[in-house]
Amino acid sequence: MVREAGFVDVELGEFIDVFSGSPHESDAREFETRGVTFRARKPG
Amino acid sequence: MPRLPGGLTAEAVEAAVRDRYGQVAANPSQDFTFPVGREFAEAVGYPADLLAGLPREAADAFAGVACPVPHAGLAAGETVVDLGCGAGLDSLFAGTRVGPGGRVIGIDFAPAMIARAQRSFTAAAMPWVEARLSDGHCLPPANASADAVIVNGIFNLNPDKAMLLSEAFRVLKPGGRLVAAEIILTSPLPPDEGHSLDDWFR
Repeated sequence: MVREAGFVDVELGEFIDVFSGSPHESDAREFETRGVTFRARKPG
Repeated sequence: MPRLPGGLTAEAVEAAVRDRYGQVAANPSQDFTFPVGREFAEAVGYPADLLAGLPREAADAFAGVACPVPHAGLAAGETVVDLGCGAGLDSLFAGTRVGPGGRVIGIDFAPAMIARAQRSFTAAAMPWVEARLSDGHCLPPANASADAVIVNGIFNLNPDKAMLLSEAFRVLKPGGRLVAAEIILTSPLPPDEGHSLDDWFR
């Protein structure tokens, strides 16, 4: 989707355990959600 | 606009998100189904000394995903768009990087969040950081005006992710950077999930 928008050099960064300790941590685990950072560049 | 399960409309989801984050802005210490606040910000990577030097109002209502600013490679004098700025923590962080010769435009579609962000920017005495109320359909910045766009946890709450990416692409200068922190699913949702508005906040 990021590339489809026109971006290039798409890089995934670190994964983060966002919901750790939150009231819905169990939902996050059940649905296999994760936090992630990513970076991309507009050509030019 | 992508089709949503359960007969939900994009407008209904947007209204629910606006309402929920308005509640965060008004009373961040109440219980939410997602993490909020300064302690959470520090846990996901915001430096304690940075947080200590910024208005509490920004960090206390932080509801992002991670700490994207250090990944943006910001330099003095650059223009940054903080898309979905919330209470303004990333805008302020970016403001410390670009300095008074730069510009940071924090944009959010929740009026209560924008009001809170503006109070934080004023308290921080960073006039080069500004708050703008707008949804993602037509962002205020002009075409090719930003060196970087920062996003911290809004794609997962917006039904039209392609539109947000298109707008981020439009406002970036050629060679500009998109830096995002986001929630992702590593496997498809069960078919009976995602049919109610509450599912968007689980």
